[in-house]
Amino acid sequence: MMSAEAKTRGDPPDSSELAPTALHREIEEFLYREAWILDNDKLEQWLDLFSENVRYWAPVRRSLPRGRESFHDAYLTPHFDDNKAGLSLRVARSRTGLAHAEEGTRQRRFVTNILILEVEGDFVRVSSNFQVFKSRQDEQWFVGTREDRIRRKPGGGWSIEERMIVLDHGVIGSITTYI
Amino acid sequence: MSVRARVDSAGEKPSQLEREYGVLVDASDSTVSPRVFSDPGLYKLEGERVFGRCWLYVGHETQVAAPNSFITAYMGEEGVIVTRGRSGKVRVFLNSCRHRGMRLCRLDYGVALKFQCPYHGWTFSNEGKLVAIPEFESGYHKNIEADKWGLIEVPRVESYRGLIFACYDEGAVSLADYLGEAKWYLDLCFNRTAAGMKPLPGVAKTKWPGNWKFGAEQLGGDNSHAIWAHSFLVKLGMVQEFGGGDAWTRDFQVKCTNGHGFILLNEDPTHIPPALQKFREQIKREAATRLDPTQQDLVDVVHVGTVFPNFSFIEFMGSMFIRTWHPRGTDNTEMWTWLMTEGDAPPEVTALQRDLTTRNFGPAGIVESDDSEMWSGCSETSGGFLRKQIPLNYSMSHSYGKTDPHRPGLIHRTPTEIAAFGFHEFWYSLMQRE
Repeated sequence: MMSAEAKTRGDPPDSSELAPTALHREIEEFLYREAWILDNDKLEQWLDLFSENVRYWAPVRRSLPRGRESFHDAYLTPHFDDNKAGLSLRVARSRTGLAHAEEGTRQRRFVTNILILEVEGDFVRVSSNFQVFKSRQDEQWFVGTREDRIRRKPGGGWSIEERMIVLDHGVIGSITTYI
Repeated sequence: MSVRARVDSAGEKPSQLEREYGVLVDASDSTVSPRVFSDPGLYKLEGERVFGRCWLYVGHETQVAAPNSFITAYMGEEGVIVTRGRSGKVRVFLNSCRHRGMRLCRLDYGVALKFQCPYHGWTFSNEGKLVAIPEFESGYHKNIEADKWGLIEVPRVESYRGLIFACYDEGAVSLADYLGEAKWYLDLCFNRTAAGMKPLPGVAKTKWPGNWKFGAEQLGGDNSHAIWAHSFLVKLGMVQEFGGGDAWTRDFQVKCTNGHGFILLNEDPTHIPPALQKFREQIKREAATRLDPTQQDLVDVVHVGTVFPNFSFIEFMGSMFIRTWHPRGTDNTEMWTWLMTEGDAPPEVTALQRDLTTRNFGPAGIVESDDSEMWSGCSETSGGFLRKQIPLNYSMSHSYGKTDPHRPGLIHRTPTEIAAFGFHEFWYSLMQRE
């Protein structure tokens, strides 16, 4: 585990304190599989990866002096901030075939820099970077990082309890929320 | 259809613009040329004749409430700093050093007594005064008049109900006069309580590849797109939540003078979350002390509108946002959207409004995403060699507008396009005026 000092500083975990390789491999597989599910439009399967109490959200970015930007200001404007019902509504909308911004787009996700930040019982905090490519006639890239809190389910497998998506764009195009 | 010249009945000659482009906005049949959205020459002229003359929204009073606070914003394509200096007055300066024009401030907001240019260190106070140049003695031999090299100030700054507007035109009419008939409709949202509306922290900055006017005209005068562009709402059974009110009095659009336009739609209160319904009752009680009887009846409806040229807002079933459309070329628009809440709303109401607005109209808004798709798609064709020669149809209920002694402006029940066309009519009048 991280030293309390390192945690406060916001440092990544010391290499001597790395979580066991098997756990890392499992989490990596889980995230890659999620990306594959989304790339292949299996939205209902994707919904099942999330806890019933999930918070799935992305704060807007602010250009402030270094170190001053916080994502936890009360009522901070988000790009999106959904619970499970919100995610389900988005999937239902996609399934109508009438989500004009999405219909006919090809999407590809790249998940990298997977780092286990903290392990506490059945809960794991994971950081991963992403790029999502979205194209129809135009091409759009979305870049950022995610901080996930995932829980090992009693019967095996993982459930995403919270995902904070930090997009790096100052001005953003027509985003997909399936990140 | 070929370009044609028109001489009106008073015998006045066509304007220079009309001689060059033909009739771009034709009031005789409510049509608009696609060139309005795509022509680079018109875009450049628009920067001067529309953005250079009209009142432009730059920020909210609550964002620069603290002494020496500032926000950065845009007026058309020019970046500006909106700051409340030590005099307590809000002033607007171009965000550009007087030396070589370098962008002075790259932050979204903050508190600053001075702005120092990163290029050569020229330093300006937050009242625009040049207070330091590093080479004042060694290089300039003390021979430079600081008074002549202060920040370029935008001459007119005025507020309406907490909304700060600025204008490049020193001789422009007052903001209140410019808003004119629009004030009555803006008050339904922005003057119904003493605390007023205020923006939440952060601003959602998004972009779409199309001309800004497609967005501005829609929020000022298009309700009929809703069940088509957002047809997924129909499929998911969500559309009966609005509309269906008494036409003309609770489902109508308004064309105001100076290009402003508003849409009001009846709401089904059973679809409003209970916490918000309760708060709305409080709002209505307060509104009764501030608004006239006709206005009071229109407080709990959907409110959508555009203040010409590029400030819009939507209050829809609990969602509330304000927005500016920033032109970034003929076919690129940067949209700045602020989520809003009532100034004295309890935390659970603010949280709820943030939630609703984000879901519907945020950068990934389930309603918003479809709209920018349409605006981009219309822009895409507007520059085509053949397409640009053939006018766009804005004729829905052309000539059927009515006036009402209790409500300003020209009114038509939904659906209509009189306000969308009114937007372009005013645009054209400004463009023709040299």
